[in-house]
Amino acid sequence: MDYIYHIQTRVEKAGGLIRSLAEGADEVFRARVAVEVRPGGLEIERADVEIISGGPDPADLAEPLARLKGVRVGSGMTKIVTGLFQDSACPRLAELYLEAMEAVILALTRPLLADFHGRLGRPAQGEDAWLNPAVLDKAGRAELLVQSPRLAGSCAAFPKEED
Amino acid sequence: MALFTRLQSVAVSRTPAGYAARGELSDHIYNMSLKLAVDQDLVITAVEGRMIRYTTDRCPLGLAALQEARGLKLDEPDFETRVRKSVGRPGCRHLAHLLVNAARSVVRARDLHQGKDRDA
Repeated sequence: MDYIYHIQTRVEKAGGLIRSLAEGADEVFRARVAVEVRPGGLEIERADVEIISGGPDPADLAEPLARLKGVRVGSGMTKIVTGLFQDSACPRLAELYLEAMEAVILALTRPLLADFHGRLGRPAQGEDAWLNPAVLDKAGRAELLVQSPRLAGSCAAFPKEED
Repeated sequence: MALFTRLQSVAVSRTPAGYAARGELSDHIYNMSLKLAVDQDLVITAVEGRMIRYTTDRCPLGLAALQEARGLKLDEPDFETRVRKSVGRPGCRHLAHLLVNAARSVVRARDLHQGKDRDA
């Protein structure tokens, strides 16, 4: 293999906040970023970075890090975060912050999905069914759409019109 | 205790035709993988995915949208936007995310190798 890249993301409670960490590493670059988000509004209260190898001096990142404070996890975050880091010495840090922020959304989605799968899940079909004991069928998807209408038209699972 | 954990990895190899990459995403909700082949100009010539763990019975239908990425050039400025629109929205946004990370890795592998070739 000529090149390998890993990204590891972890979300945990941090007092009254939600902390999300993302670490990316290849043969040259390794960095770890963290955001702390207030539940409810999901605004970033604190952003940190640790450059382990191959990145810029963290002192050169003071401005984009300061401007991350107050950015809301949710729609529009990709454009904002990419813009904050595109002129910095390390635009790929934006990728790690976005991984951390996306993980916050998934961490909040996880218990909702677990509830739906517990109540309405059906066994998956196919060779990987043993790895996938509960999926939502048409009735389950319809109920989830009632709770989360923004999902409509967002992907193949929630088409705007279904045959 | 972690509220959520995600692991992603991409491995890239040089091939006679260009590059081949394999990406995998595994987290508390999803598990999926993809294979990607690009030519010397970084144009996608083949892509296929596999959904192992997902949330609805329709999620595997999203695999078909991966074929919309064939012909896209990895280093074009709007590559990621096009993937999210043509693969993510009609297919699966997590698979599109994995494809974007695989594409970034191929470009970085190419850049590293070009640097090494110059240094040799």
